[in-house]
Amino acid sequence: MTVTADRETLRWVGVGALAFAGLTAAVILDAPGPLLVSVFAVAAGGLAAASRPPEVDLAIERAVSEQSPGPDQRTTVTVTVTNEGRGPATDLRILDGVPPALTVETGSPRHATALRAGESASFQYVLATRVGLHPFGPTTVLARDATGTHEREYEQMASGATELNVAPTLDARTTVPLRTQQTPYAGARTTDSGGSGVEFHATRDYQHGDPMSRIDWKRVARTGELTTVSFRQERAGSVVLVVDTRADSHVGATDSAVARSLEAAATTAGSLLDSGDRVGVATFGPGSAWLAPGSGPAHRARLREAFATDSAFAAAPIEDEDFLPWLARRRLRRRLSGGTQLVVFSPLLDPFMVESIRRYEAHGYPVTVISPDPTGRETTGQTLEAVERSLRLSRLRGAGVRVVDWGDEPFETTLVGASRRWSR
Amino acid sequence: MVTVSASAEFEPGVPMLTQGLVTGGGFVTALLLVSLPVAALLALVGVVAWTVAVRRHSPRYLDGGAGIVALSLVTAGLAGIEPPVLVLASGAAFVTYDLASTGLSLATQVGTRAETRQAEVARLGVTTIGAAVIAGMGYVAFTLASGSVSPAAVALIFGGVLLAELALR
Repeated sequence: MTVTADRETLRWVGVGALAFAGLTAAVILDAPGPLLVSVFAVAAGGLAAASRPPEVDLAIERAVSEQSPGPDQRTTVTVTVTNEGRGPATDLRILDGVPPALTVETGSPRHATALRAGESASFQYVLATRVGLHPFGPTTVLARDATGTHEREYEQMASGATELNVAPTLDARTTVPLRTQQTPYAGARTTDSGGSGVEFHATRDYQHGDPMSRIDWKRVARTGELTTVSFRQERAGSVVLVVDTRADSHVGATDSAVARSLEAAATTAGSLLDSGDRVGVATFGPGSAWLAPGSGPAHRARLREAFATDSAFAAAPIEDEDFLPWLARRRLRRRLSGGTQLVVFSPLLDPFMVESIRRYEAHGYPVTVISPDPTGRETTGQTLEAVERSLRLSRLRGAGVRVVDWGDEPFETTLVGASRRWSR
Repeated sequence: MVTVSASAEFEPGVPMLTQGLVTGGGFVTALLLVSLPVAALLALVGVVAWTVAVRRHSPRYLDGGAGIVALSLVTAGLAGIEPPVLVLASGAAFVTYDLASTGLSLATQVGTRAETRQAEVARLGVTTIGAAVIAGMGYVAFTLASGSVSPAAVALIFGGVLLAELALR
């Protein structure tokens, strides 16, 4: 257990004044009555002066009903606290370190109790799960002495479950529109180049070697000229989903931009995989994760595992003083192969990300930005931040980058709206 | 008083058991002083302040109520109310104030959704035992003061103890 703070509650400060008042009245009026009252105040003050911050020795164990639940499920957390000290702990207030991106559905991660030596107490709460790796924080214990004068704050890592691994289902729940740059692999994305396919593209003069099935026979019958019909070629896209996991992007108490980005990235990955595209993932932040674009059931399983277990996908800020954003930007560019396009998930709270996206675009990697909006409008500062973010979005759009500004509505709804705008 | 954190699952508020105990303890204090209507009335005002304090988790009402209840007890002492009754009333006020103060800290640190019953019952037990011991000491002091020793002398002894306490801090 680590002591993080010692403080006095100051709850008996006023009794000194009461004691003096009572004693003064007793002396001046020579009456014994006020003595009876002031004796309580004197005794309370004496006990407070004699008391010391409590020393407690606790064992804290955490258990979860399911270590790897699916997204949007419930998992029950049970915390058991045992007094391993030699004396009683008369006043304990316990706050379990709930993963910051998860919300408590029922129950409370807080508990107040008193424990005799060797005695245990348990409490439960239910968490609503969401995609990502969710590490539990340290459990905070506030212990007060018997008089309540001193309060000592401890932090302790609970034994047992230390994280929740929530893997995405990667089910296609929406259609994700991509930019036009595709790979040489056959797929479901129509391109601007003509060839074999389904959707009509253009007609041209017949050239030797064109397949008979693509000759426009009606035109031959009408005019006698041989023309060949070409269709839009259908190719697979190669996409890397980049999640901005830098500390500044963990904005919001229970619904951080990173947590939303992870969910959106998982939805996007599922959709793209189902449409035959090659999908990779990367994080832009400390402990950068990388999974090269690929497809197929094995790759799908690798993606699910990465979202649930790679610490870079933790839905809580990672402390890393050695993280250099420009190095991360360069490292990601080196990993990208030609024909790859990026879908960047970032709240765009700083100019660095805007600059990075523009650079990727300039290097020939088409970028689509999906930006969860974490800004509020309640204070002047929040409004200013919202305006600045809005300007960054405009700057990106001006540079030819597709940007989806994602507000409070569901991701799928936002994406449908954006697709409609882009198809006009 | 420290708020551990403020998140969605947290609803600040004094636990219901403590609210009930504070109101009940306050009324017991006022009832014990009923033989002196002025003191009882003052105590009643203090109890109302304490009830408001635990309902709104307001330290200001708690301190205000404590001042008024203390005034009622000193008034009762000066008016010469029966010593055992005064000891009991002071003890009840002491326990009630302690519970209310603990309840207020629970309100901001633990909230209403958390289980707190064991802590509240333990607090009640510890404070009641403490109050009983102090009441015993008070009664001895009173017996001394109303016997051969002058009240002023006993008061001065307690004053010395008080100064020593303050010096120890």
